[in-house]
Order: sequence, then structure tokens, then C-alpha cells
Amino acid sequence: MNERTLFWIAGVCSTIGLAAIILLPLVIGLADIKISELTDDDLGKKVSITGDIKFKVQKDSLTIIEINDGTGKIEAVFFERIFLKKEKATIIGVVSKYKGNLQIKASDIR
Amino acid sequence: MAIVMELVLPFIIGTAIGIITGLLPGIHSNLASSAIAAYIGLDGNFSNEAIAVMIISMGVAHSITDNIPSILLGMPDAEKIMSALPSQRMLLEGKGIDAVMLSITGTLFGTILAVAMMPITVLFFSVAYFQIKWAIGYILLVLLTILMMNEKKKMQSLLILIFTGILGIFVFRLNMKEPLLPLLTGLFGTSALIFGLINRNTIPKQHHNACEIKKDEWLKPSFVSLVMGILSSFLPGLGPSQIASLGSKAIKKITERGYIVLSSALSTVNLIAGIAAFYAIGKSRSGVIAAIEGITGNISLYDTTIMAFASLAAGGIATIFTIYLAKRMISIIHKVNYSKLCLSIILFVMLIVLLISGLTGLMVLLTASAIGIITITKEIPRQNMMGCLILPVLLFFMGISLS
Repeated sequence: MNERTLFWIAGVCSTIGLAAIILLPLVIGLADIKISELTDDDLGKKVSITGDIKFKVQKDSLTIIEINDGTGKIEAVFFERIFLKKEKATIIGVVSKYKGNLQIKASDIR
Repeated sequence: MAIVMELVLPFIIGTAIGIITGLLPGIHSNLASSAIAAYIGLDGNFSNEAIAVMIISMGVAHSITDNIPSILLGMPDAEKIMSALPSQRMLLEGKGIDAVMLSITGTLFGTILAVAMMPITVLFFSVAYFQIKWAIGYILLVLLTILMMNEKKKMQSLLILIFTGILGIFVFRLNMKEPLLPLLTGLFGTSALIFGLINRNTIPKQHHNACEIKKDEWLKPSFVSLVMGILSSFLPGLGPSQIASLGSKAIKKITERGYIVLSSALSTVNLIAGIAAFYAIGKSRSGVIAAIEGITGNISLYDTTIMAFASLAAGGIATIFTIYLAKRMISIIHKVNYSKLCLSIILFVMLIVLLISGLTGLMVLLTASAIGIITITKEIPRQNMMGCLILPVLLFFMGISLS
């Protein structure tokens, strides 16, 4: 075992590990959660919610979408302008709290 | 793109923090993981999963780059204490680069084996822990007795074990944030720094190129470290340094070089096996995992898998950086003003402890440092200072309450 071999092994480990970190979240999707099931215990958790959407605010650096999955309504906040001509979508994000109300800090909409 | 970067960015941040903190002598990974959980974890920009990836990447990267200050500056963490003596002997012979490469080999193979064996480790914890939970206190007592019987300075080692144990019991009862921070930093970090400052240590000029590492120097020690590292994360209170001492008995005629590989691999195996322990039995066995527990609560199989791969990637990247940095540092290490470096780090650590644990923490740090200095000056094996954790854990599992 010499320095060059160590470098190669380390390189392979880095590549496999990084590939897994990138691909696993894509391959293993999140199961949808119902809005009525969300509680303060879910703060910080990454969730996926599917439902009817309504744009409430649409600016250059802020978009607020209200999503209704039939069990309740919740606001999803994007810190960018979102363009979507759909009435139904899946929103993925992190559960957070704003002015006492649960909301989703969204990272993706499909 | 956002989904793709969701875990990559925290991974990069965590690995970078781990590489930097690993290079700073006296800074334990518990400190960095507490800081990440306390400051980054609360701002809501990352999910719990992302914070967990950040912390574990930091922990693994730290355990690898930590080989540099452990060996080149003579500042080992509690986990690396057992490899400190042979490493420092090699450093004083001008073969510091050999010691660093041996340590890096150990930590890298420890990472690979621990990640590869994760499914079996989870199964082992799930099945074995609840079967023998009732006997853990007695197992710890037997192992401690074996360790004491093997010490050359038996009475002094026992006294240090008991003394630090009493300190640990008192510290855990204090109303203080992050009690482990000033306790372990004082015992193993600042004490060594103060000792180095007093002794005005100097480092001789070093060879530039490392010798090839033979198969019997890394293969068997790596596999033994896997078994012993899992055992160490299974038994609370017993750290990698004590397990290294026991593990060396499992290899006939282990050389000093093989011992360095074993001891280095153990600390990383212990950390990664800790993920499996946390998933399987819901118990955190290290400060890093405890910080993750504080953010996520219990983790899922998916979280465990992601953290395992993050550990692998962090291990690989940190290894590459460490080899590169070690080769650069080896040519200038003899020029370093050691006293100024020690003093700067002591002051930095005191500030961190004051900010996180307050004045009480500072008092604990000074007390623990004093005990650490006594241990070093009397040449009592430093791993006995792990009594600060072993004794409280032993009493807990034997059902002895001191409240």
C-alpha cells in the first residue's frame, strides 16, 4: 500500500459516496403526507404534499402557493419566481413555522 | 437541481468544517458537531436530514484530518491516545510522514469496512443489545479489570480512573450546556497543549517520502478494528482508546506500525458504527451522534443509508486532503513556533468553552486540564482518564443512583 494507491481508493470512495448522496433522494421519492397529519413535531422534516394549488403571491424572489389536499390547506413558500400552469401539483419542502402557522419552505414543485 | 443539491451542499459544508476542525489541535469533533447543531441547525435553511449529513460528514472528515495534529504536533484526541506514543516516537525519529500515512490508512479502511458492514452491524445491535442489556454493567467491569491488570502503573492508573470518574459524575450533575466539551477538551486537549507549552517541545526535521505500508501492517489490524470498533460502540463509556488496548491482544506480534493502523481505524469505525447503533437501538454513543439525535430524533433506514454513504464520501475526500496537507506540512513542521501555536489554541478553546458552556464550563476545563497535566507528568496512560465517562456509565448500568 503506497500513497498513490491510497489516493485511488480514496477517490473511488468519494465518487461512490457522492453518487449515492445525489441519486438516492431522486430514486427513493418521498411518500406523500396529509396536511391534517402535520404537527409541530414535524418541524424540520422534509415532506411531499400533493393537492390543488393556488398562487397567492408571485414576485421575483418570492412565490407563495396555497396547497389543498382535501384534508387541509397549507402555504408553501418559494424564494424565487415560480411559473406553473397547473391546478394540481406535488410540493416538496421542509416543514417550518411562520407567525405561529405551519408552512412549507419549498424546494421543488412538480 | 434543488433536489440534487439538497444533500450535496450540506455534505460539502460538513466535510469542509471537519477538515478544518480536524487540523486544529485540541478541538474535538463533539465541539464542532454541537456548534453545527446549535447554530446551523436552528436557522431552518436545511432539513433535519441535511443537518444529519452535515454533522456525520464533519465527524468522519475530522477523524481523518485529526491525524495531522495528533502526530505532527503531538496533540491526540481521546480516541487517538493509544496511537500517540508510537506515532510520537516515529516523529522524533524523523519518520512523522510514515506515522501519518499509517494513521490515514487505518482511518480510510476503517471507514470502508464500517460502511460495508453497516447492514450486519444494524442486525447485530437489533438482536444482541436487548438480549444482554442487563449484563452491560458487568461486561464493562470485567473489561476494565482486564485493562487495569495489563497496566504497568496499576495503582496510579486506578486512582486516575476513579478520580476522573468522580469528576465526570459531578460534571454531569452541573447545570451546564454541553458538559462533555470542557470535560474531554480539558482532560485530553488543553492539558497536552499546556504541557507542550511548558516543555518548549521542538520537532526535528522530517523525511519527505513515506515508506510503503506492508499488507500485514494494515490488513489484519483493519479487520480487528472493525470488530473492536463495533464492540466499542456497543458498550457505552468504553472508548476507542481502551478498545485499542484490548484489540492489540487479538493480534499476535503486532508491530508498532500495525498498532497505529488499528488505533486510528478504531476511532472511525466507532463513529460510523454509532450510526447503526442509533438506528437499531435509539442510543447515541458519541457526541457527534448525540448532536444528530438532538436535531432529528430517531432516524429512518433511509437516513441511515444516506449517512453511511456521506461517511464514505467524506472519508475519501478527507483522505485526499490529508495526504496532500501532510506532505506540505512535513517539510515545514520543524520551523513552527510551537509555543505560540499552543498558546493561540488554548485561548481559542477557552473562548469557545466560555461561549457554549459559560463560566462553569471554564472552571471544568481548568480542573480537567489540571488532572490531565498530572496524568501526563506522572506518565500514567492517558486513556485511564476516560474514567470520566466509564464510571458514570458503569454505575448507571449497575443500577446505582447517586442522586
